[in-house]
Amino acid sequence: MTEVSEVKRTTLINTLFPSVVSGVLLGVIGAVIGGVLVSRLVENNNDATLVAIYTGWVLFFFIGIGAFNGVWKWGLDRRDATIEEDYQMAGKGQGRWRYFRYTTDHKVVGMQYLVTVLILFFFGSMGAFMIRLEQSMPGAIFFTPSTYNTIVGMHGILMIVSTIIMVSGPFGNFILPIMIGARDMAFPRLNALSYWLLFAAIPIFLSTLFVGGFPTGWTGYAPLADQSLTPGMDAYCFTIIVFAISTTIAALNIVTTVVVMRTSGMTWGRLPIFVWGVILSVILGLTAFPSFIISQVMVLMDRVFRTAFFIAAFGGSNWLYEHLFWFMGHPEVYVIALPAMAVAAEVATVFTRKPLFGYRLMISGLVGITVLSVLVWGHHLYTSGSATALDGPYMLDTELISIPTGLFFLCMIGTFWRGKIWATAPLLFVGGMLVNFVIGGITGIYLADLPTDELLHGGMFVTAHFHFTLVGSMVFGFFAGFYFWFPKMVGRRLDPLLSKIHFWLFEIGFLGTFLSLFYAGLQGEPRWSANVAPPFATANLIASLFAILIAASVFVLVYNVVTSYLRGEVATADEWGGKTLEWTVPTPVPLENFEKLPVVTSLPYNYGTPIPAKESATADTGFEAPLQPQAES
Amino acid sequence: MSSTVHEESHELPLHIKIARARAGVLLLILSDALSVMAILAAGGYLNALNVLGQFKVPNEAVPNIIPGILVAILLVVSGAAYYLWERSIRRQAGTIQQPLFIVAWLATIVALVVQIYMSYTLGFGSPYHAYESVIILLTWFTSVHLLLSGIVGLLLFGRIARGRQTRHSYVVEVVGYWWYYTIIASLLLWIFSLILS
Repeated sequence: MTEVSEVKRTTLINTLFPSVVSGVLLGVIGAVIGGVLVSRLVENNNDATLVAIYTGWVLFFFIGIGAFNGVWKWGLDRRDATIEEDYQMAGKGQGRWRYFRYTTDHKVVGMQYLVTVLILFFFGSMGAFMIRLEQSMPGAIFFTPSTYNTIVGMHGILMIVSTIIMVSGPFGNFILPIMIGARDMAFPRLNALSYWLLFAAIPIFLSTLFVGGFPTGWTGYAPLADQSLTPGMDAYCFTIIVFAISTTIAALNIVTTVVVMRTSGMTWGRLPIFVWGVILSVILGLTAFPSFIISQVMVLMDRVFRTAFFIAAFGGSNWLYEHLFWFMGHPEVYVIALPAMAVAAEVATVFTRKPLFGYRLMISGLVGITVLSVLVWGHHLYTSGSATALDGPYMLDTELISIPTGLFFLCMIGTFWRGKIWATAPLLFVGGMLVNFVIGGITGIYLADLPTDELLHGGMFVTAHFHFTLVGSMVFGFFAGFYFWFPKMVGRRLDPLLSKIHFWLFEIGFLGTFLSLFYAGLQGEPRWSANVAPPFATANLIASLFAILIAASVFVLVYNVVTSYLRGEVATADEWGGKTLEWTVPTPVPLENFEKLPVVTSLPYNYGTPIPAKESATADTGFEAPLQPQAES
Repeated sequence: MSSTVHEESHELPLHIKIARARAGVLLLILSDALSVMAILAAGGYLNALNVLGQFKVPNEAVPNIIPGILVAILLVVSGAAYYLWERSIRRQAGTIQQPLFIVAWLATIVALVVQIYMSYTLGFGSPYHAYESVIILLTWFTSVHLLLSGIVGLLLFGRIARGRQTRHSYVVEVVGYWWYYTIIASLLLWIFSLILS
C-alpha cells in the first residue's frame, strides 16, 4: 500500500479539457478536415468523403477526450502515472462530471453503459412503434416504403446493438468486478475506451438519417449493400466496425479480469453463475466478431474503392457475405442470451432463498451452448441456394443446442421447486423470461428444421420467433437484472408497484403482439413488406393494439426510473439479502470497492434464511462499511 | 479540494500485472488471428467458387514478387533482432544490446514503407476483380499490422530513451508476443497471396 497525497484542485479548463465536450469539439473539427481533404483529393466519390468524415470524427474525438494521454504517458513521458493521477483518471472527487470524462472507474463505465443502453432501447422502441403504426392497417399509411425500410433497419440495429451490450456492459462492468472480489477491471483505460467507442459510433449511426438511410435492414446483406443507392450504407458499415471493435475490447477486458483478478478463494467452481454467463458470452463475442468486422470492411471497400468481394459479375459472391455475417450473426444471439440467462439464475436464487439447483450442470449447459453455437450459422443459408451438403449437419447441430438449453430450464425449475418465492419485480421478469423463452425456443425448432424452414423462411413467423427469443427472453432477463441491481448501482429504490405494472404491461403486450404475428406468419405474411396485405390485416391490427401496452410499459419504466432517481428511497447495502460479494460493500460503492479484499470459502448461494426484512439486510452479512462512499457533487 | 475518498491506495501485485499483460495480449492476438483466418477463408472461398469464371481473369496483373520478398526478409530480420535484444536483456549479462531493438523497429518501419509502396504499385485497374480485391485487402491488412507494430515499437523506444526500460520486464515479453505474431501473420498472408497468384 502507498500513501496518497492530496488531490490537486481542478480549474474549469481542466474540467472541460479533456472531457466529452472537448472530444465532440475536436471530433467535429476532425470530421470537417477529413471530409474537405478527401473531397478535394478524390472527386465524385461520396462514399470516400463520408468514410473520411467518420474516420476524422472518431480519431479526433478520442484525441479530444484524452484517450491517448495515458498511451503517450506510458511510452514517451519521463515517468509513469502517479497514484494521484490514476485516481484522477478514475474520477476521484469529480462528482457527476466523471460520467462525461474518460473515466476509468468500472462503476462509472457501468453506469455510462446502463444509461446508454436505456436511451438506445427507448429510441429502438420508438422505431418499433412506428413499424406497428404503419402495419396496423393495409396500404401505405404514414411512410413511403423507403422510409419504412430505413426505420426497420434502424430499429433492428439499435436493438441488436443494445441487446448485445445490455447485460455485459452495465452489469458486466459495474457488478462483475465486485462479484469476483476485484478493485477494478484488469485494464481500466481499455474499459473507458470500449464505452467511448460505443459513444462515438452513435452519431455515425444517426447520421444515416441525413444521408439517405440504408435499404438492407439490420443484416446489411451484400450485394444490395454494395449498390451506391445512398451513402447511408457507409454509416451502417462504419458503425458496425466501430461497435465491433468496442465489443472486442470489452470482451478482452472482461475475460482478463475474470482470469486474473479473482480474489483469494474465488475458484472457478465458486464463481457466481452471472460471472460464468458473462465470460462465456464475451468469449463467444471475441470469437464471432472478427468475421463481422472483416465483412463490413469488405463492403466498405466495395463501395469506396470499387472492389468486388460480393459482385458476381467480377467473381465475387453474395454467399461470402452471408457466411461472414452469420458466423457472427448466430453466435451473437447467444452472446445476448448467455448473460441474460445467467442473470435470471442469479436472481432466482435470491428470490427463492435457495441455492442454485445444479450449479455445475447449469455451467455445463452454458458451456455447451457456447461451443455448439459457433457451428450452426449455416442454417441461415438453407434457402439461399448454396450447396446443400451441409444442411443436414447444420440442422442436427442447431437442434442439439436444445439439450444444453434444456439443462438451463431444468436447473431453473429445480431452483424454483419448493423455494420461498419472494415475488418482486426482478423475479416476475425471470418468470416472464422463462415463459417467453419456451415459446421462442420451441418455435425455433421449426426454423432449424429444413422442411418447415422452407415454408416459414422470410415470413412473419421468423420475426415473431426471434422477438420471443431476443426480447421476450433476453430483454426480460436484462430487466430482471436491472430491477435487481438498480439499488446497488444508483443507491435508490425503484417503486415496487410501478415496477410490477411495468412487467405486466410489457408481458401482456408482448404476448399479444407477437403471438398475433406468429398467426400472421402461419397465414403466409412475408417480412419486409411495408404494406400489409388485406388477408393479414386482422392479425396485424391486434398486434398493433397490444403494442400500445408495450409502449405504455416503456413510459411507466421511464417515469419510475426518473422519479426514483430524483426522490426515491435510499437503498441499503444489501437490498435483497443477497450473498454474492456486491452485496457486502456499501451503497454507493466506494472507489476501490473493498477496504480489504475478501477471502471466499464457499459458493455464494448458502441461503437458509427466510426473506430478509429490509432493515436487517446489512446485518445479515455481518459486513461493516469502513469506506466512505464517493461523494456526488 | 482535499483528499476525498481514502488515504491509502492499493497497487496491483507484480504477478497480477504480469498475468494480465500476458492474458490481454494473447487475447488480442487470438481475436486478430480470427480476422486473419476470416480473410484467408474469404479469399480461398472466392477462389474455389470462381463465380462466372471471373475470380481471376486471364492476363490479370499479379503483384511484383521482389517487394514482397524484401518485406519478408525485413520482417524476418525484425523478428530475429527483437528476439536477440530480448534475450540479451533477459540474461542481463554484459551490456544490453539496445541497438538490436532499434534494428528490429527500423526493419518494421522500412517493411511498412515498402508495403505501402506495394499497395500503390499493384498495377490493378478499377473496377477490380475478386482476385484483385483479395490481394488489395491482404496488402492493406498487412500494412495496418505493421503500422500498429511500428507504433508499439515507438512507445517502447520512448521508454528506452527515457531510461524507463533498462532491464527485462514483462512489457518487453508481451510486446514480443505481438511483434512475433505480426511477423508470422504478415508472412502467412504474403504466402497466401502467392498461392492465389
